[in-house]
Amino acid sequence: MADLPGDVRVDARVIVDHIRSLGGTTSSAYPRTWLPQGTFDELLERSDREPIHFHPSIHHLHQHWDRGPARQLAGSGWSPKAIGRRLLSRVVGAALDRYFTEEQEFRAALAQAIDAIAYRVDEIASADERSIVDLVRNDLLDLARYVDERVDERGRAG
Amino acid sequence: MTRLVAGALARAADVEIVHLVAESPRSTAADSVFSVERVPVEGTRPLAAGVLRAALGTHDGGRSIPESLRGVLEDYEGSSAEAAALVGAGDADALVLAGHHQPYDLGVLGTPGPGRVRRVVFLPMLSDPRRLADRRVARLVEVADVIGTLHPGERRAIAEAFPQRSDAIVAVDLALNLNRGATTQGLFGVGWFGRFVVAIRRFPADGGRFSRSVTHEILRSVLPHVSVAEVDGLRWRITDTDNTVELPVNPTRINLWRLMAHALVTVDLRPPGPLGREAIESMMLGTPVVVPDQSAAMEHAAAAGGGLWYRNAGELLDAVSALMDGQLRYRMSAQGRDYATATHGRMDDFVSRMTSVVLGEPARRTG
Repeated sequence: MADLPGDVRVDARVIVDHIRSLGGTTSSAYPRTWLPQGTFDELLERSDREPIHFHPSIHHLHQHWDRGPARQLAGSGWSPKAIGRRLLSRVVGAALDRYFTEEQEFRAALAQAIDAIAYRVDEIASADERSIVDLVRNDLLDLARYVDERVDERGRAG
Repeated sequence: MTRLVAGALARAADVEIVHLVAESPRSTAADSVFSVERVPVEGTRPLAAGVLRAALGTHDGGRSIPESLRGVLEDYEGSSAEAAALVGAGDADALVLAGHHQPYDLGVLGTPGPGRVRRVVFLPMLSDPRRLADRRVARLVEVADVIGTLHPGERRAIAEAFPQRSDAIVAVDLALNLNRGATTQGLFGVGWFGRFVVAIRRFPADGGRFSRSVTHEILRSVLPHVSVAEVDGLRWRITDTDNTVELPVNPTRINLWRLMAHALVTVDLRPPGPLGREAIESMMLGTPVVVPDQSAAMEHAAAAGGGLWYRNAGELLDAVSALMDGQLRYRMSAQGRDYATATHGRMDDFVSRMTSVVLGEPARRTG
């Protein structure tokens, strides 16, 4: 939005369309910035069933799976304690680097798998609710046809 | 909304409000400018009607409901013989039907034309344009001398569904009294949280609320260095990265104004309503809005260029993130304020507009 021209009026519809087009084309291994996506249909959004997708634990996982920055923290300062801590950090980092890398990849894969499962469960729940509502509707239509037929029969009999 | 219209009309005429209430004893109360009569509606089954509408809506948006089921739906809305008697009495110069739920024999409204003694003004207040397919709503549109609409989307929907009544449709554009002086100070305690957005989950305290939507924590996590204030019925709170504080305030409209006036953005998480009042007020206070798609609030935001709208949780978060851009927010703030002030901020214009719409010409108050 940094290149908005001078005094030209901003058209909200254009901005919304732009945002939607970006949301639709963004592709990444993980959901967009690790946030729940708008994949639920309206039925599930308004139902009483809580989508697993919105579960706080999954949100926490999204926010905290990446421990990469924590590995870079070696401390600062020139006190003997700080120097010792830095040396220890380097030794531990060098010795366990491969383990930490694998651990990081494992966490990422785990988060991705849990996320995929959550999406799938929500999709199934949505389909389940939709089928129930369809059944109710079909029953109502049968009832309506029955009522119409009875009314017609009575009309003919009368 | 009814009180706003009645208040405007009371400057030019005597006004009596008839409030139809489900399963309530009849009562009358006098206000300083108008009287309010509560009239019972018997036999309402709102839950059953809601379930039936939802089930029928899965097919084609509920447009082609079988005739027999339409009758069932109408039965579920109940009926009020007393309201029919009041409406049929015909001793008023004009009758304003506020809302499309008019559960009585609509035959008492008479037929439009020169023979009818009084003027019928219909304010549909549609939160869902599909209701235009109801035959009772169609009858109200046909019988009204004037159809008053609250936002451009409602005007468009009625004109498309009833092209033959296009000439009768007028924009009512409610005027809202907003006490700007009261908003110079923010709510107590909010200032410590720096810049913030307001999320309205339920307002007023007895209003509608989705059992879930984007949570406070998730909204907070997409906004770097910005706090989130949440209005949820009686519970108001504000959160930054580390702290959450319950705001010890009364859930009044003036406190909501004080919150919105100092916020970066107002996010509306509620089920869409017929008016979008809080969106208009937020724009009036210079705060852009993020509101649900297909709502009255969205129509105002689009007409003003004063906010963005969303279909789902992902779009909501994207829209709020986009408005963190200072330049866009500044533009939308200015556009929203200009539109809201010009369209909804002039009470005198609204009074003369309503007087002309309802009474046909300037009228004198009697007594």
